[in-house]
Amino acid sequence: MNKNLYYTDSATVFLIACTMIWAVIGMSAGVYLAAELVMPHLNFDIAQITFGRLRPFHTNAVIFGFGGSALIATAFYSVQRTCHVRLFSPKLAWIVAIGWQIGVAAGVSSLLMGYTSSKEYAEFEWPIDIAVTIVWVSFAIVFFGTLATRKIRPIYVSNWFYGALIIVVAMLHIVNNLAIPYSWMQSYPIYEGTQDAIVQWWYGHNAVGFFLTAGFLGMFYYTLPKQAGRPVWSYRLSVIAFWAFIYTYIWVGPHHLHYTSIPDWLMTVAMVMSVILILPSWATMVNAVMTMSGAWDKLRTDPGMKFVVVSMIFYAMSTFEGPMLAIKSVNVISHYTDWTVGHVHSGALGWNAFVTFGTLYFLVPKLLGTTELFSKRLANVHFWIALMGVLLYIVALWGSGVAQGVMNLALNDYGHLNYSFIDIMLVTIPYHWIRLVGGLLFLSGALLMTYNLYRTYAASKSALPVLVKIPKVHAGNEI
Amino acid sequence: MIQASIKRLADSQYSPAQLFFGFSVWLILIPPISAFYGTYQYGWSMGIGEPIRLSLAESISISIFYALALMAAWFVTALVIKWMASIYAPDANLKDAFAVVTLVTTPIMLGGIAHIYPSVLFHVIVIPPIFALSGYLLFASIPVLLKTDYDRGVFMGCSLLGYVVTGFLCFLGIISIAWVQGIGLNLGV
Repeated sequence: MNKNLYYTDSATVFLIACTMIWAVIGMSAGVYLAAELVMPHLNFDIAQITFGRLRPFHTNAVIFGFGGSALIATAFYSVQRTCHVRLFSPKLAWIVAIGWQIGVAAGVSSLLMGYTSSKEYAEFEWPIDIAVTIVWVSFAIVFFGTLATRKIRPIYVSNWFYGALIIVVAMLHIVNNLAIPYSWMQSYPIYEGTQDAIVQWWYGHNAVGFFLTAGFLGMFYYTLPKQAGRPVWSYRLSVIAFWAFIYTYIWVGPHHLHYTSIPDWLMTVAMVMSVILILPSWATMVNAVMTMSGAWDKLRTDPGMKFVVVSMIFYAMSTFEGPMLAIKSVNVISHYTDWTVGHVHSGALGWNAFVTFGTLYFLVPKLLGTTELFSKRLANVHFWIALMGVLLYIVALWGSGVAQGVMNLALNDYGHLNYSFIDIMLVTIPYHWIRLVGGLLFLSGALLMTYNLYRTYAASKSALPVLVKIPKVHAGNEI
Repeated sequence: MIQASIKRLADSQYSPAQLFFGFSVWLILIPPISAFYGTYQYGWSMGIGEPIRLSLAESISISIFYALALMAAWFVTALVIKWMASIYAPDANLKDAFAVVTLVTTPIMLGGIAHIYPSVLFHVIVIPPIFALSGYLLFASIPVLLKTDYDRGVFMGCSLLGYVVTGFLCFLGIISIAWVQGIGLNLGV
């Protein structure tokens, strides 16, 4: 058998299994953290599960473990289908798949042990940073190697987004983590003071932009047209939105540093660019809604489609709310409050997790050579409890965020602060209980999905590996 | 039951004026009157310390402004629906657009009675189910009231949902900017 005539998906299947394992681990840690906020004794005085260590464990496990595995899995799957060619190097793809798991597992474990660079979302220390860089460069070789050997002339838009993810994240990761080691697990950053803060948030927000947005848009641009059975409504709009997105996003990081010691002009540039960013974001949203034209009835029958469509609504909402929060006059109220945390989770849960769930419900039966999930009903239950969870979470943190913002700044008749820090914390507690319930619902949904996908796999594993023949390219589109 | 009610409303012969003056305007008055009573009698509670109470004159002026803002939002939304319907539901007329707004805003206006107990936490608990019901009514009513098919109805429902969510976020942003500019609360900025 000539293997080059078939796609290779074994690394993708492995990565999807890892995605669900990381979802359960990372989201469980998030729920435990939410519980610690209302019941601080839950840390049991064990250093490894105190809030300060468990919080970066949670963020890194969900962003890089769950999100990263899903992105690499879908990139491997879709780049083959959109290029009509087998992965450039299936062995290297497997090294990437396994190497990524080892890197993230080692990283999050080291965080629990107290080794941290203390840079948000870049907490891993230098040996792990180097290992992750090697894996990421290998990912780039597989992805761009596949693109370079493609049999079809156009490069589909999802590959532009995945390509941006790979190039920009490599640049961000390397520049932000430049450090001088002084032991095997510790180092000093080469930047200091405000420069360190500016570089950190240049990294931090572009990690949101290129890891959590560009990468997931790549996933989205492949999945939605496939699920809807229709082409992207306007291919030209998708490419214009891509370039506008790339040019604008890279400037917005300093909006995390409003009213700090960075230059005032830099805050203003970041604010203006953040507001401009609404245009490419909403262009994508409009393109998605229009792509669905004529296929809305599939919402009744396809649970994966429900997730993907609702993810677009959350994407639209969070990409409008983000620029609004970047306006300095709004930021003075919202910064350092739960409003920001709610905003981040409306994006992370409502957009990133929902589009991933929808994509996996769509891909897994295909990868296993079956037509149906183990249970569509379970997938529908997952959708509704996840939606309830994320809505409870966001509404609770809107309430607590606005209350905190007002109380942080309220003055009494003598011009003194009206509320103490403890007052504000006490007010926050009921909202954090609601947030805990929302998180528990979302985690329950992820557990249901894991069970559903496992049973789908168990029912069809005897038929593995599924061989999918690479179709011929339409005449006129060949390279 | 809800579907039957929507059908009855679709078959009714009410004019836009009858829908607004005979029904909606009374509902629109519920939130401002409740807010006036709650703010003047009890004051907004943040959950700790003294509630933020307003004088009689301040309470009356804010409530009147609130009522005018709700009426303006009601009419603008109806006109937006009529405008969108020119693409997605060409057979719909102004009365149909008024009927959609009337139906969808009914739970929200009735829920405005929650303002009698002006606690931020209480509102956070009460509001989500009310908006969930309104969201359901939005998607359930559009195909029937605007005489369009399911596919276009969902399309238009998503567009309207986007319009409403954007409006809500703008409202939060504008309120924050107003506070920072010294309107309303005494903040140290």
